[in-house]
Amino acid sequence: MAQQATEGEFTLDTAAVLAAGEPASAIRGRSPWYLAWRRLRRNYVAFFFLGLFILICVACLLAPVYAKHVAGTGPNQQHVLENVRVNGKLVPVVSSGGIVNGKLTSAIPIGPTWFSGGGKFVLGADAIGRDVAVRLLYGGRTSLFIGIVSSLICTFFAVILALLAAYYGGWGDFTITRFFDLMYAFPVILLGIALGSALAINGFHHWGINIQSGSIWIPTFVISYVLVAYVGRPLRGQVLSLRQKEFIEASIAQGASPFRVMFIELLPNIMSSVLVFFTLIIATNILLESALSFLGAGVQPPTASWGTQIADGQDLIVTRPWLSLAPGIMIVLTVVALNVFGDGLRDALDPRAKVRIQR
Amino acid sequence: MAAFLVRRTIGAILVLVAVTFFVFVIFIVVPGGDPAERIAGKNATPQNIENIRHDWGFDRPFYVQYYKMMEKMATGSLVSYTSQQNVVQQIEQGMPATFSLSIGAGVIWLFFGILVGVISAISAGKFSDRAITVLALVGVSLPIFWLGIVTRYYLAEGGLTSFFPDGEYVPLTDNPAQWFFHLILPWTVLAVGFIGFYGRVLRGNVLDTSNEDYVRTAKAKGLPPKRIMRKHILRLSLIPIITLFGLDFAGVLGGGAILTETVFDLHGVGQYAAQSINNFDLPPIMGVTLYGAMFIVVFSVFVDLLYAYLDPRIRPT
Amino acid sequence: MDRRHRLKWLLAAASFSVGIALIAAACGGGGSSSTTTSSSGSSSSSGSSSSSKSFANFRVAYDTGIDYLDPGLSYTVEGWQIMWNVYLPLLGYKHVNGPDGATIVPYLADSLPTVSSDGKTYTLTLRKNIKYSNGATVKASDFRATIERDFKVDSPGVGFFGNIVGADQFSKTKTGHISGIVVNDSTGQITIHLNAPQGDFMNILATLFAAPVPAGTPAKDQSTTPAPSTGPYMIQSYQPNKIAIVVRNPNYDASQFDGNVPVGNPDKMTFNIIGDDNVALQRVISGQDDYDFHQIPADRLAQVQSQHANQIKVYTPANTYYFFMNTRMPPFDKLQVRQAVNYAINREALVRIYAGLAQPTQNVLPPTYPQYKKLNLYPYNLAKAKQLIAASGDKGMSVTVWNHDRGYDPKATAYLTDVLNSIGLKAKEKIINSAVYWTTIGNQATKAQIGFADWFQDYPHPLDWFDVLLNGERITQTHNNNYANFNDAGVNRQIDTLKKQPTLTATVNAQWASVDKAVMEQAPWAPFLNRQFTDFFYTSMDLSCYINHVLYQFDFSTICHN
Repeated sequence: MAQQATEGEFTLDTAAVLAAGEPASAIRGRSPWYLAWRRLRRNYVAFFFLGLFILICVACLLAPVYAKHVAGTGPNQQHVLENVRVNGKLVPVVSSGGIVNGKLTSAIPIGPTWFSGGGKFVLGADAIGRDVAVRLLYGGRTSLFIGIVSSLICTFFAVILALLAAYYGGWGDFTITRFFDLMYAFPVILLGIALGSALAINGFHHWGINIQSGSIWIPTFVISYVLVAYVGRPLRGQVLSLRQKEFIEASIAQGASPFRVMFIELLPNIMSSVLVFFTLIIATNILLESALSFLGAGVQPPTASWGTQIADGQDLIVTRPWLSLAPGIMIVLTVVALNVFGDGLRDALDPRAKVRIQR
Repeated sequence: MAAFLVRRTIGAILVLVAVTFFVFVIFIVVPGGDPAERIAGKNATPQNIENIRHDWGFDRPFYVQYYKMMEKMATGSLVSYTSQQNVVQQIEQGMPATFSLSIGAGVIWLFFGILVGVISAISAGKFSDRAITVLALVGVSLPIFWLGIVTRYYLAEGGLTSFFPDGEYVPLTDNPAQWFFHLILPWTVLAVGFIGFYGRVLRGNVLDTSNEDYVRTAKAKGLPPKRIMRKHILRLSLIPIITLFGLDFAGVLGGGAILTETVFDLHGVGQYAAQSINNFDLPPIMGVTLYGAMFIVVFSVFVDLLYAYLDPRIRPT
Repeated sequence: MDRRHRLKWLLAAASFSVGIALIAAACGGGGSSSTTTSSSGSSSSSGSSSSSKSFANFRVAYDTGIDYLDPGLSYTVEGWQIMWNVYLPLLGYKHVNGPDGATIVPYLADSLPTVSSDGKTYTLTLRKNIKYSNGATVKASDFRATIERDFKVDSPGVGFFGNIVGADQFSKTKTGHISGIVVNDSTGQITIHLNAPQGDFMNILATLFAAPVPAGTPAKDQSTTPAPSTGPYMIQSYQPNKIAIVVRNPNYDASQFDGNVPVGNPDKMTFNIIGDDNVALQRVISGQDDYDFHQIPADRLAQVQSQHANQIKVYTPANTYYFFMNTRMPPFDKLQVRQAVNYAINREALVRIYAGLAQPTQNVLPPTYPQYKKLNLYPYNLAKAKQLIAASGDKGMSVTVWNHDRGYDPKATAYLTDVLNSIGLKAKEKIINSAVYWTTIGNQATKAQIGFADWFQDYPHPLDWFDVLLNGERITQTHNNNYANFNDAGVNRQIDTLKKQPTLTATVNAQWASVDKAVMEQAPWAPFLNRQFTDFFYTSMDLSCYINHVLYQFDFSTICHN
C-alpha cells in the first residue's frame, strides 16, 4: 500500500472520479429461473446423470435399429429350433431337453454371447428363443413411455386439483381432500394391482373412451390415477399457503377471474415444485410399473417391459441369471439417474436452501 | 381434544366404508367374468350354475350384495369364492408372518435411516456425505422384487451360496432361531428402500433446522455442539420422520409389503391379497382391503396425536 | 406446552390406542382355531392289520392347490390324490402301475355291477359290515344320500350324474329323493336307473363324488371338519393353506376288500402346504420332507439330476395340450387353414419351450390309453402350410390367439403367434387372467378364433375326452367345453354309439382309435404335447415300492422306507 501512495493520494473521491469514467453497465434483474439454471449448470453430477437418462432413452428409441442391423431379429420372433454360430461352433438357441443318455435334462436357452455370435443373442435368449437384448430395448420403450406419460398425466391432474381445492376452498376443497384421503388409505401397490387386474380383462369402455385390454394405456392410466393424491396433497398445501399472501388478495380485489388467479398468479409460484415432483414421479412410476408388470397386473404379455422380463426370467434365475439381471440393472440405472437429477433440480430451484453443496 | 378424537373417529369410519365400497365397485362393475361360472367348475350344468348364483346371492342387486358381504365380514363368516375358505381365518393365519416382517424391518429401517441421515448431515459436503447419498439413492431406486429375486439367487440356499435359508416363514413359537434366519433377507430387502428415503429426508430436515435462528443463538451462547444437535436440532427434525414412519409402518403392517412377501413366499396378509386379486376372488380382497385401511387410518390418527405432543406449535385439527 | 398439557395429550393418545386395541380384540377374537379333528371312533385298538413295511410318518411338501378335502366338492388332483385312500366309492381302481391301473374293481360293492341288457339299469350290492372311521356301519341309503348331497352343495361333479333318472328334478328342487336310485338297507342292494345307456358309468361310480359318506353329513363344505371315512386312512385335521394330517383309519379292515385296497405303509401322512417350488425342493433335499409334490423347477433339474439322480421319477399322466381352432369363426372355418396350422407348428420346438419335459403328439388321446394309436397326419412342413394358407384365400386375415397367464403356457402361444405370422396370417396374442380364462373362451360371445387349452382326464375313458370336448351335440352357449365348436355328424354318431358300450373290449378300443383319426382328419385342434412330470423323494425313501397310478398318480399309501 505504501508504494501505491506514490500515485497520489487514493481517497474515496479519487475512486469516485475513476469510477465515473468507467462505462456504466446496466443493472439487469435476473429471473429466478435464470438463477436456478446457473446453479444447475454448475452441478456436474446432476448433469451427468441427466445425460445418462437421455442416453438410455435414445438407446431404447433406437431399438428397431439394433433389432434390424445388429441382432437380426424382432422382439417377438422365436428361434427355438435354430442354431447360432458362436466362436465358430454351432450352438442351439434352445437346447433340447428330456432324457438324454439316461440323464434327465431340461431345455435351456443360450446364454450371453457378448458379441462373439456376430451380434445375435448378445445377452442370450429367453425360453422361447427370443433375443434378450432386443427385448430389453423394446421393453425399455414401453417402460419409459409409461413412466413419462403417466407422470405427465398425474402431475397435470394433481396441479389442477390442487389449484381448484386451494382456490375455491369450502365444499370443493372438502371433497377433493377427502378424495386424497381415500387414495392415501390404500396401499399404493394394492390399489394398482386391483385396478390393473380388473382392467386387463376387458379394457376400459366407459364415457366414450375405448381402450383395449392389451394396450399400454391401461397401466399408464392406472399408475397416474393411483399416484395423483401423492402429488396433489403436497401441492395443495403449498397453494394454500400462497393463497393467504397479499398479492393474491390484491389480484382478487382487482377483479381478476378465477382462471387468471389460479393459472397466472398461483401456478407460476409453485412451478418449481411441480417440476421437481414431475421428475421424481417419473422414477416412482417406472418402479411401480415394473412391480405391477411383475405381478401380472401391468403390461400384459407379449408386450415386453422391464417388469415382465424380470418375471419371465425368474424361472431361469439359476442357469441364465442375465434374463432377470439385465432388465433390473436397466431399471436401477434409469431410476438412479432420475433421482440424482431430480435432487440436483430441487437444490437448484429452491432459493431458500440455506446450505448448498458448492463444488 | 375430545372433539378432535370424535371427529377423527367418524372420519375414519367413513373412510373405511368408502374404501370397501370403492373396491367392491371395481370388481363388480368392471366385468371380470361371472363368479357363479367360475365356482361351478368344468362339468357344470346350467341348472347347477343357476343354483350357485342363487345360493351365493349373485342374482341380487349390487348394493344388496355389498351389504350382505359387509354383514358376513362383521360376523367373521365371509368365505372366498375359491375353496370357500373363511377369509378372517386366512387373514389371521397370515398375520404372524406380516407382523414379524413389518416390525423387524421397521425397527431396522428406522434405526438405520436415522443413523444415515444424521451422519450425512453432520458431514455435509464431505466425501462420506456424498458416498452415503449415492448409496441412499441407489437403495431407493432398487425394485424390491428384483432385489428379492437377486438376493435369493446369490445368497440363499439352492442358489450360488447358502448363507441364508430360501424364503418361507417359520413361526416364532416353532423355532425362534429359524424364525430369525428366515427373516433376515426379507427384512433387509424391505428396509433398503426406506433407509435411503428416510436418510435423505432427515438430512434435509437437519440441514434446514441447523440454519434456524434459534440454533445460531444456541451456538452463540456456547452450548456444546453435541448438545445442540441432540436437544434442539434432532428433536425437531425427527418429527416429520415419525409421521412418515407411522404411515409407512401402518402400510406394511396392513399387508402393503406385497412384493417382499410374494418373492420370499412368506404367506403373509400381503401375499394373500395379491393372490386373491389375481384370482378375482372378491371376498378376500374386501377383507384384506378393510384390514389394511384400518391400520392406516388408526395409525394416522395416532401419528397426529403424537405429532401434537412432540411439537408444541402444532394443534391437531 | 406445560407439563399438565403434555400429560393430557399423552393420556389422550394412550386411551385412544387402548380403545382401538379393545375393539380389535373384540372383533378379532371371534375366529376360533381352525384346527379341528374329525369325530374319530375308538382309536385305542389298531383294528387294521399294518403291513410289514409300515413306517411312522410320510411327510409331503404339498402345493397350495387343494380346493377342498370334501369328497363331494373337490375337483383337483391335489384333493383327489389325498382322498382316494380315504374315501372309497362303490367301485374303484387297482393300485398298480401302468395301464392295468385303469381296471375297475369293486371297493365298497361286493362285485362289479350287473348291467341290464338295455344298459340302463345298474345293480350292486354293498359289502356287509363295512364301518366308517367313526364306528357307524355303511348303509345302502348312504350312497343315495351322498349323490343327493352333491347336488345340495352345488358340487362341480353333478354333471356326471345328470343321466340318472330323477336327477334333473332333484337338481331343481333339492327336496325329496332322486327317484332313479333305489336302495334297500336290509339287503344292501343299490339299483340305479339311467335315462340312456352310458358306457363310462362305472368310471363315474368310481369317482370320489360318488364315495359314500354318512347320510346325515351336513350339506356344506366339510373340509375342516372331515366326514368319516371308509378307506385305510382318515383325515385327522386340515388347516387350509397350512397343513393336512392323515392317519390310519382304526376301523378299516383290509381283508374285507379282496386285496383291492392296500392297507398302506405310512402310519401317518403329513401334507405341509408350501407355495414356492424352490422351497419345496430344498425341503426334500435337506430331508425336512420325504416327497416333493411340486415339479422340480426346470432351472434346477441339471443340479438335482447330478446329485440325486436315483431319487427322481418321471411320469406322464393322461393329458393333452392343444390349440383349439373355432370352426365357427373365419379363417378356421376352412379345413385348409386348420390343417395349415397343424403342419406349421413344430412340436419339437414346443417340447423345448416346456423345458423338454414333454412328448410331442398329434392325437387327441394320450399315449397311455389302450385306445391310442399314434397319428402322424401332419409332419412338420412350413412350406406346405404357407401353400395351404395361400390356397384358402385367407392370407393376411387378422387372428387373435388367446391364452391365460400362468406357468409355461403363455410361451406356447407366443410361439404359435410367431408361427402364424410366418405362414401368412396376421396374428397377435391376447393373454388374460387365469381365473377367468376358461369361462371366457367357453363363452360363444367371446368369438375366440384360436387359443390354448389343455385337458387332464377325469377318469380313464375315451368318453371323458370325445364326449366332453368334441361332441357337437354338447356345444353350449356358455360354459362350453368344446372350444372348437366341432360338430361333425359322423363323429357325433360314432360317439353316441360307442357311448352305449358298457365295457372297453379290444374292438371298442379300436373303434375309439378310429374316432381319434377321424377327428384329427378334420383338424379342429392342433394337439402338440403330452406333458411329463417329476416326482422327487428324499434319500430315505425306497423307490422300489413306488406306484404311479394312471389316474391318481403317485400312490401315497404304498411307498416305503429304506
